[in-house]
Amino acid sequence: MLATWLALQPGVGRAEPDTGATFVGQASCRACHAVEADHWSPTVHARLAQRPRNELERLGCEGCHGRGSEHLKDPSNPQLILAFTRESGTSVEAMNGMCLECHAGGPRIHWNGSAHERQSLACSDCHNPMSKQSPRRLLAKQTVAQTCFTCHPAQRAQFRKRSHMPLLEGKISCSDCHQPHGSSTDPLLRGDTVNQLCYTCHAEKRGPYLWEHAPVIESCLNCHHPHGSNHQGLLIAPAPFLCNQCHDQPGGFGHPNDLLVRGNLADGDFPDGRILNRGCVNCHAQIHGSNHPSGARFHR
Amino acid sequence: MKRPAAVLVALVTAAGPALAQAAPGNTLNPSGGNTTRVTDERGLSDLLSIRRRSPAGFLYPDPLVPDRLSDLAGGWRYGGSLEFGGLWTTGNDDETRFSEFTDWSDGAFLEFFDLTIEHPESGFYADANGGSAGRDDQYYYGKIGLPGLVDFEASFSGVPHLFAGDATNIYEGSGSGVLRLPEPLVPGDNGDAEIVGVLETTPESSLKLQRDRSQLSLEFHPVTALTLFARYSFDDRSGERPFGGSLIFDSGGEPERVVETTEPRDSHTHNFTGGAWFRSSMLLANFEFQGSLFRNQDSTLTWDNPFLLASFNGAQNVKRGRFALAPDNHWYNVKGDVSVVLPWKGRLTTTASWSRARQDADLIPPTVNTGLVGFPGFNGVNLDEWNTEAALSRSHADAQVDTLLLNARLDLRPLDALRLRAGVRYYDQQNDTRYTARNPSTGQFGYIAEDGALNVFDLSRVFVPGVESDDFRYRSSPFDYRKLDYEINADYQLLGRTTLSGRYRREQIYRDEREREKTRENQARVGLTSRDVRWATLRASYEYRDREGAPYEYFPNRKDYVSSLPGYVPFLEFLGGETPPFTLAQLRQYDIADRERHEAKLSANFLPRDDLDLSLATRFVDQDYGASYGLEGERWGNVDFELGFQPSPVVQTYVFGHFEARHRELASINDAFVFPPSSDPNAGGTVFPLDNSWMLHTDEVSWGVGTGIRLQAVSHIVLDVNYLFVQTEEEYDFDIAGPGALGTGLTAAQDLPNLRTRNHLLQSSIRFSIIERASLRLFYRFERSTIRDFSQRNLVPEEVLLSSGALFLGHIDRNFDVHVIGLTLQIHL
Repeated sequence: MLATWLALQPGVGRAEPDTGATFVGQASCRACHAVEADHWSPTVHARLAQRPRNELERLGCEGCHGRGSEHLKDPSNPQLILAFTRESGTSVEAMNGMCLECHAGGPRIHWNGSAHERQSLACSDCHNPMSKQSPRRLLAKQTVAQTCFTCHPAQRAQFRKRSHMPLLEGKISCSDCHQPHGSSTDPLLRGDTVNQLCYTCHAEKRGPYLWEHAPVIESCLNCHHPHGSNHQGLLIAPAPFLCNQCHDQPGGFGHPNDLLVRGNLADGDFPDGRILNRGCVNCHAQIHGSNHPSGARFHR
Repeated sequence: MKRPAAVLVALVTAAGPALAQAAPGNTLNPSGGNTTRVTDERGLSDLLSIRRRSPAGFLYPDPLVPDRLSDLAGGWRYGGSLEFGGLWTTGNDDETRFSEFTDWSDGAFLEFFDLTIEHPESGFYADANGGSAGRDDQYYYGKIGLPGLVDFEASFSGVPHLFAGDATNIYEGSGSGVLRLPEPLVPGDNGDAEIVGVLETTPESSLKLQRDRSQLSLEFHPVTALTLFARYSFDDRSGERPFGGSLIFDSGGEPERVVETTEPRDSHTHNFTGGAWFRSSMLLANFEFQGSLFRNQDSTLTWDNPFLLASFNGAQNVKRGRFALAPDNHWYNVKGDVSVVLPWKGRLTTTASWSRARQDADLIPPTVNTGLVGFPGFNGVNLDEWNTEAALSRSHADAQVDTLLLNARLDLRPLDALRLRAGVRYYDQQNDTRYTARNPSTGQFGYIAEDGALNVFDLSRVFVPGVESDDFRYRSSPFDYRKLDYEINADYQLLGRTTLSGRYRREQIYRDEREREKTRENQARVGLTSRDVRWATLRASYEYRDREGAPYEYFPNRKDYVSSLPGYVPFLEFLGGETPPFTLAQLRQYDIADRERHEAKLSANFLPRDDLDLSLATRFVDQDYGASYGLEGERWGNVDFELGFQPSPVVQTYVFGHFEARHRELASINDAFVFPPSSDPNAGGTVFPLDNSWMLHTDEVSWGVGTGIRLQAVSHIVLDVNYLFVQTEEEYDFDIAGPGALGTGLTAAQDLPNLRTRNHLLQSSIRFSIIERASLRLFYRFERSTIRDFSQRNLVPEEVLLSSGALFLGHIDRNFDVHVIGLTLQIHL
């Protein structure tokens, strides 16, 4: 019964302009657009058209581009066919509406009102369904990262810093952490919080621990740059200065609030472990939280 | 599961299921795509003379030559390709940063393979590809299905992570949970000269971790309106990484006694996801369940103490240290999203998400050592009373955090030119974990700090009523918070494709156990997006944020410290001694401090010619925390440009540049030695005199340029050359009010050497067609990197041990020059 009811649900509204045109069939399109058809043929959309589940998929080219009869009469008039490029003059809303006819919902349920939608981005800014340019997802460029860097060049530079996630090494992609089609968490994150997202790969940091470090459980970004940093471990500043930002506990003997300078380096007159090697976490090794009954200061 | 088994899971299920998001690849093929494909000389179209651009105005790359499939019997078709050959590296190819995430082993290698089989009549298809087979960075992907009905995916990706190729590790058993000293060293009773003797004969070794991730996924579409999906991923990590190991910190003139140990990593994470997506013209709905199980094979790390801490107070009893490593944990999440269509072209989208993270690991005793340590009658402790489970206030962690997210967003368009949005978001993180460090067998609050090492000298973390003590935490604080955001937005269409937008947002965070119970931030943003001019797309925005909140309490967890217990007596009370302040009262932690923030962004992509792209992007941020001490403020900005030129499908070239500057200011006061101790927390008081104040100014400048060209001549020769240069430099300048700002012995605040990295990367390849379906590819990669990091300067283990008392592994990031040469044969089936 559920399946029957679901099957009776109408599709999401079609955004095709009303030009009074009729369908002409895929063969007519191919007659002129042989190169485009050739590039399109290995794509997932072409496979779908080979075994359509509904009338829309059976339409092939016109399933996305709309009825072609008027375009056939006057091919130079861009208003008579729905195209997805800048020069077509088609509104972004109309372009996206056509894509969402099949792709609404699911991972795109938050598209409406999302950061990219508000910036008037079209689906075809990031995707090129006419060619299999990327191994998956019909991206406009070969990788997710290349696609994102088009508008986010600063992130490309960050991933080139000394300490970075293995994105340029092909082991993760922007879309592992970000949902470009909208999310209930800024900035387009796949998790409910930054930490929930980070724990996806760093599950050992999830705890919960007996002894927690307050800024750690609230946001990993309090101490880490997620895209890249000049410091070890994606830290926003090197130890001990990172820790000095929040800690000024007196020990009576200068720990941890004395200023460490050149003379405290390994070749200085008074080497100090807090500025050497791993800095403060030489001792506070469990800075993300400790499950040791004696780990109140993250030493164990 | 061991690594071969994990590979097997993915390979076997390449004929069955895998993942959704991650696209596996590696350094030589980041996209994981077909490396044998070349650009189609026909371009995107042979009908139009103009080059096509995306709606935002960027040129589409010219398409690659489509895969050709060959016919088989019964209506089946197949296609595939293969690239294999040899790879050689010369130069400093063992440098950690060069090989951090890549397996550059010399010898034969399979760069890439793919295979496609399909049966158009039935719709069945199967795709498989992969690369770097047998290497640490190997990757595989497979997918089979019937389009629109069912899809199975499987993937595998190996991620090597090299931490050090030059570690001087004296311990035996590295990579396991027990680190033993080699002969002739004995735990807890070695002079530095004896340790140096062992260091001098210890060869350098590598510390690395291998992460293998296998994923399976299934999507099933019983009807167009409904998708059912299930995913499983298995993450296997094995290896070791540098870790800590403290015995004595700087506690009054004694040398620091810290060991850089190696943490074993032998862990698995199982992730499960399942759910359904439904869509109709009026309603969209998602439901999803997620589960994640983390399993660590090593629950503890025990290491021998290499040092002789002292010749008194039972120092020899501090034979070992022991860590509790990451415990097994599990996490579950249930999430639902519903979106409904409203009048005025409106939509209401809501989300509810609940999750629980829990771990209930067996707790280990407060110390691993035995015997007496410390001054009898003062801070002396019998470790035998603390080294069994009987010394625990409870036997299991019983730690749990629940979270709840409720989100709603309303989107309306009352006029064609006006769009209104409103949203509210509530997030609640509830931490039910409170642990009290109390030994039921002695009735004492507290614990054994650093496995008894502290007691050898003058400190203790065991509270004895009536006996002088410093103040310390004996009970955990269950940090949690609730966050409420609400916002309203308006977008007004000024012209056909020019939109002016405005947003007001308020964020309120209620925190338990933190210095501020509540912070609230008002945010206002205006923005403009325009595509009305034919030759450009412009985006500009300005955002102002102002955060303030409840009064700042510099010692919020007072109740969890022993000074709150009856019988607490501060040191030297009989001389008028008081409990030293927890921290400087005027210091502000920047995540909860007041903050005034300005952010301006401008981006533009120009279309100067039919075949040219020019884009510019800049961003400037200024944050002022309004703090006298702590992080006072930071400013940063960046400018990026890129020029892309595509005169024809066979010629593509680009140049880009990046400049980024960042400035931070940090201030603090070193505490003074006060006798008898004072509780004055204020700046300018006895504990924090202004003469001991200091300030750090950090300036970072990063810049880089890149360029490249791809030439394709008569489809038989393809030349691809790319070059990149990146430099980062950070400068650390100090201001001090007086020598009291510095550590013991220093009188002048000499600035630190600049932290600097410079990288050159040249990648080139040339491909020749030798016969119709075969090509040769020769590639060359040159990488030069220089680095200067003050924290690693002269970090020679023997010398550091003698000068500072720390035993480090001695890893240093070094300069390197590496040449990589590869020769491969590409074959199309």
